[in-house]
Amino acid sequence: MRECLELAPDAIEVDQASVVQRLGSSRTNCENGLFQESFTAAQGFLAATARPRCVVQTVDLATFAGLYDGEGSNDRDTPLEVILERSEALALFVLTLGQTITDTIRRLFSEHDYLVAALLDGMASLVAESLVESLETRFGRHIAECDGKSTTPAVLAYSPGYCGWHVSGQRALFSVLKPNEIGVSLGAGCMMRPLKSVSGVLVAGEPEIHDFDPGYSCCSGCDTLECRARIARVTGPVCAKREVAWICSDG
Amino acid sequence: MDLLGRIADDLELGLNDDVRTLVRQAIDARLSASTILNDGLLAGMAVVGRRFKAHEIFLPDVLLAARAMHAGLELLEPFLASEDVRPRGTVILGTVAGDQHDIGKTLVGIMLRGAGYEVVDLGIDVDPETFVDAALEHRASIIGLSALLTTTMPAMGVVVRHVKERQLAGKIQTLVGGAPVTREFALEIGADAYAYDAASAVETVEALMDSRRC
Repeated sequence: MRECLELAPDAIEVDQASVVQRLGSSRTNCENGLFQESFTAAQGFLAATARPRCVVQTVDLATFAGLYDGEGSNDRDTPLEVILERSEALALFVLTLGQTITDTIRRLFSEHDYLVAALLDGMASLVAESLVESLETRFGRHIAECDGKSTTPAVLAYSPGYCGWHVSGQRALFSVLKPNEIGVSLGAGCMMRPLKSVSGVLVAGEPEIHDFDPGYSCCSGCDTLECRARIARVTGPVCAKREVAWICSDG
Repeated sequence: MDLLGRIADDLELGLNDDVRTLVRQAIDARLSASTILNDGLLAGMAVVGRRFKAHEIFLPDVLLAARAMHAGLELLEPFLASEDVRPRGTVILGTVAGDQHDIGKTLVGIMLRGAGYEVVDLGIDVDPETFVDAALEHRASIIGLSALLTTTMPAMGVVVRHVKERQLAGKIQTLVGGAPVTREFALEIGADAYAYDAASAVETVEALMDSRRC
């Protein structure tokens, strides 16, 4: 299966607290309406300039294993290697919000409309992440339909540049997926253009396969804990307990 | 409250239209451009910087204040040029080669401009030679390097090495920052300074400038 999708504009929703948090703030002191005015303006730019599109292609485990090795730069042990062994289905994906939104953010900064620019940047990142989640859901439903099951598998996305998967893995992924069809290309440092794009593999399986102890070499240099929340999304309280234990044991 | 105090207060609140009006009034009242800049706009931004560092206000407030600062500065610039008022220093900024992340170093630039520095923003994915060439061209004494990826952090070391290879160490100082960058990494690559965030970048630039004056 290979699909190019234009994602529905109604998927573009952002809540104010998350955007403000993305800017590194817990709140704003602005009580004169300027913040709200800027937020509304940024929402308008988001609706006018985000053109979410994606390409998704199912891939078998053997093919993906070759892709995953990429240029041989991955960490020696990675969580995804173990997760893959127990996976049921895989799909490569690249998702983008398009070039116009990035150009708009830069223009707003250059016109000194700093807050609107920063809010739009934060909104775009959140929307991209949220759209990846919707891809996860969509792929899970697709697998359930194909297998004639009433329950959908747990799907999480994994991306080059994270969890020991070297960013150079983008090249192998792009060689198969050819996302130029949706306007995404790779720069010299394996960074995607447009900037607000996400790539990776959707991994479907039992919820437990996504759960791993954060003892890999890549985990020691990671201070975001984002994987814990992602895992908890599919495994529920089992993982949440482990997260608390891990944080506590870490001091 | 006097005109300059009102400029500073309104700037702190991010009221760019009011700041523009008050700066126009100050110009019409024949206050010198340097006085309006230092005792109005920069005084207001200094309070914003202090309150941001103390977590009394947050990034959105700083960005609104920076917009108001620019609104006032735009009116003032021709007068500053005729009075030959010079910036506190020039800083070259950019995101290192291979990295296209923009917003971090843009925020640092906004904060530095708000503190009275001239900033030359080279943009993203900047070659090591370009940083050094720009510093020489603009007679800048500080190069600020940003990286948002662990994979592009080593490019910071390449810039630092270029500065040394071109016998410019001491004349041009390097400041590094970005989400994955640490003080230890800065030491490891021989950078002159590390900044945790945009607010501390301003303080660090000030400290580097002061160290040059001693």
